[in-house]
Amino acid sequence: MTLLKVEHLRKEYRSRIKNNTVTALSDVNFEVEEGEFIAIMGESGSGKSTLLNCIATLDNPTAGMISLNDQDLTKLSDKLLARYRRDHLGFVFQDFNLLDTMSITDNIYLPLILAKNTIGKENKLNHLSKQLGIESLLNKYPYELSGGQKQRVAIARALITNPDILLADEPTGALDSKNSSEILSIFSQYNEQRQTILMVTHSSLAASHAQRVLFIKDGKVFHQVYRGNKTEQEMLLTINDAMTNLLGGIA
Amino acid sequence: MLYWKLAWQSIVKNKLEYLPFILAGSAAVALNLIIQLLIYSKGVKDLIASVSVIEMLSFGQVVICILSIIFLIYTYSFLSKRKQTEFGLFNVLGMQKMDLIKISWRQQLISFVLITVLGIISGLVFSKVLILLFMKLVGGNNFGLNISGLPILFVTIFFSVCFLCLLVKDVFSIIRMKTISLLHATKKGDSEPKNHWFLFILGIGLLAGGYYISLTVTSPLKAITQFFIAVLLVVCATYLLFIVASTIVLKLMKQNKAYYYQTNHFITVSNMLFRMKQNATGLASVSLLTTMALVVVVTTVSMFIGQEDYVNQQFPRAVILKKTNHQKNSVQTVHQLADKHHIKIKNSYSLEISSEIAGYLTENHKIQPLTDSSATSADGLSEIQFMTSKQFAKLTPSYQKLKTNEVYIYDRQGTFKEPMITFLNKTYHVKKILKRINGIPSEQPNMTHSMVIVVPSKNVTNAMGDIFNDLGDRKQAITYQNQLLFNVFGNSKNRKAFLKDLSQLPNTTVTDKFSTMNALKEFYGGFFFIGIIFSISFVMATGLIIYYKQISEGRADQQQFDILQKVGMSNDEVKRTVNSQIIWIFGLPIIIAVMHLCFAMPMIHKILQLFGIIIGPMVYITTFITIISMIVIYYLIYLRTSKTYYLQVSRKIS
Repeated sequence: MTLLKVEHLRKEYRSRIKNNTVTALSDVNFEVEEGEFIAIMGESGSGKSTLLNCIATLDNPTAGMISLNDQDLTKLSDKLLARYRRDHLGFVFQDFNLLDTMSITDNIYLPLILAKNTIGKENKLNHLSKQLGIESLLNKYPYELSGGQKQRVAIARALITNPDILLADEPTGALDSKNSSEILSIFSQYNEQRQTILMVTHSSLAASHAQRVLFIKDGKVFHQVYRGNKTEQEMLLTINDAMTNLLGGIA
Repeated sequence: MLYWKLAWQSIVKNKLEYLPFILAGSAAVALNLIIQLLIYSKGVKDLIASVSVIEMLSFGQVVICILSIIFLIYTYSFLSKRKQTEFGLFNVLGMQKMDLIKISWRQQLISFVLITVLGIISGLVFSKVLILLFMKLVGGNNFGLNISGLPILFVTIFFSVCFLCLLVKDVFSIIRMKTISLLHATKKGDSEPKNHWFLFILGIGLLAGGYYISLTVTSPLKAITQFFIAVLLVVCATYLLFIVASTIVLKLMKQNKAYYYQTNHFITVSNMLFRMKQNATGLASVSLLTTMALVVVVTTVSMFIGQEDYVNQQFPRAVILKKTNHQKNSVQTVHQLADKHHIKIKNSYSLEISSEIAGYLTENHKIQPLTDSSATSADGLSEIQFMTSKQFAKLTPSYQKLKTNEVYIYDRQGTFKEPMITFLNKTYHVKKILKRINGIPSEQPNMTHSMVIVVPSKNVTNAMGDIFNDLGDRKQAITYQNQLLFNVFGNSKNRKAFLKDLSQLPNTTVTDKFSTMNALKEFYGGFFFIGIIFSISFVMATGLIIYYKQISEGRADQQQFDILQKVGMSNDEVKRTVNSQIIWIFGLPIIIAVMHLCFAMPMIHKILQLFGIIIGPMVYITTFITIISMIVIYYLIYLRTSKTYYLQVSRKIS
């Protein structure tokens, strides 16, 4: 079943000086099926982060349509957008974005409390913290944690609302290789439990965990690679080939 | 030219910080200028009490000057932080420290010129209004304001010195600046504040102690000394409680899960917990400054309003004519003079009463003559006048005769409660303690305890007068004076001429209500005016302190609200959270200040009694109005602040 549909998405940024528009996304089309794990790859400036921001409703597209469960997101008001974000989306960021003024428990509860959906929050927390191995951290504060631990907490926060789709923006960008591979295997695990994941990255290693990789260049989906039955290693080679041939080469 | 451009651009770019700085600076310039203009104005020079009024204004000037310096330095420190980052960037781009200093002094010059020009213009405009107010308050009638160069020169020099200090500060920070530290400006997480129950209890104790002293103080003289103790206790307690109690209360809120895990409370409580840790001392200072502003208003208003009452009580009739020798007042002479000046004399009466002798009241209700050693113990100090029962009978028709060992006592302060009184070696039975005696002033011009003792006959005092003369270092004979008291009616010019002639009669002293009232009005009016200026500057200063604090925090909180919005907080919710946080920061100091004021009232009341001033309903009304206008001013600053803060922290969706 199609979960997310992006059609003819266009995003322009108008600089303060008139007549000077920058096109970040020119015409993006793709669909995400339920339970998919998709990586979006591209050079910096290719528009991949803009794409994610548009899907996350943090940015308004100039034209085109984004729909989640057949609900057109470009037509929602600010209040409804906020509700949509907290009810249907989960976020994981490169720099974790945990609140230093709250304990780990409260950080994870945050989306539930914003959604006024606090019934049974303890069970959800127990369940997630066991899966992510962060039980011993619950009473600490973010500034006491290592990067890998922070990202686990961020994942817990993203998943506690059972989101339709988990959006990850360079989730391993600030982590060392050991922590990176741990976080990525966590993603793979949740994906096996039918969690839909959309991840933006420029690391082919990270992308090799995905089932499908979309390449973005000059604001368009340029190419895509399916993993099929490949191992991660083989997938990595395929991605690297695609990168050198399609992105690096003369298009 | 490049430097000028960079300097100007930096000001424009940081207008969020610069605008309030320039406005506040201009206000400081204007206030200083206004006081200067008043000091040099013709109207003030023409006042009867011009010397003391100018002295008072000069004192106010000094205080405002000091406040201006502190305030400029404080607000500038916020600016300077912003500038540091900018200068760091310039430094990275290849500017030398000398270049940065060149930019810096240009910036200082620009802001100095802006501030002084704006300040002087607004000062000149407002001084017209304020001299009207001032003259109304002090009862003067010359509204002239000669605008000379001297005040403007003074203000310009004073503020150029201030800005020179700021420049020096800037240069120092540029010299000490390390580029690398600016590039690596890391944000370190703040640990959660801990509960300090001991300090909390100590704070509560100190506060209770301070309040207790104020509530239980009995005598006005004690009130003055104890006032400082109470103030000290309350000041310490305020700081302690702001630091400690805020954490404890917020943590209790946090422990109450049902309360804490609600959308509105969740973010506010967890934010405030950290915020209070950083801001507790600042907020405590703001509360104390606000309290000070309120106390200043209450006292000056009470004095201003109470003075008339006070004078009225000193003067049962408008004019009191005292004959220093034993001769009878020649009522006829007075009437002749009055006729000459077309003045009508009404309700006149005469009385015979002794001059005041200073003594002190020992614990076993004995009056001792005042000696040098006893003069230091101000506690029992009393000024005593005597009156014969014969005279008393004239003033009070329903009069019961005194036996030879009996006296009546009229104690103006109402503290004497003994059944006996001893003058040296003879004890008298106090037949009655009187609440008042008709025709006797119920207030004295000075602040000491005073009473009138009604004795059976002059024999008693004659004997005592001798002993007092022998023992006391201050030789005072008890002599009886004849006083003539009367009201006068006529126009003020005639009245003045009449009083002048009257005072030239031989062996007489004349005091009149009108000149006493005028002198007092000038004094207390000036006092009131200074009070208003102080309060305005206090409130403005505190408001701006909060504004700056919020703005600088807004920058720090930007990321936090960014996260919250990404996670699903709508703009409305952000607005609500921001408002509820800021309203606490603004509201708390006012609440605390009003509470402090309420508890200080009994003490202020007692101290004002020393000045013969009773706090009446007018004072409560003015206090109420002051609090309301304070809240309004704060509210306006609050609106501005929360708007700026909100703009800072909310995401702008393009």
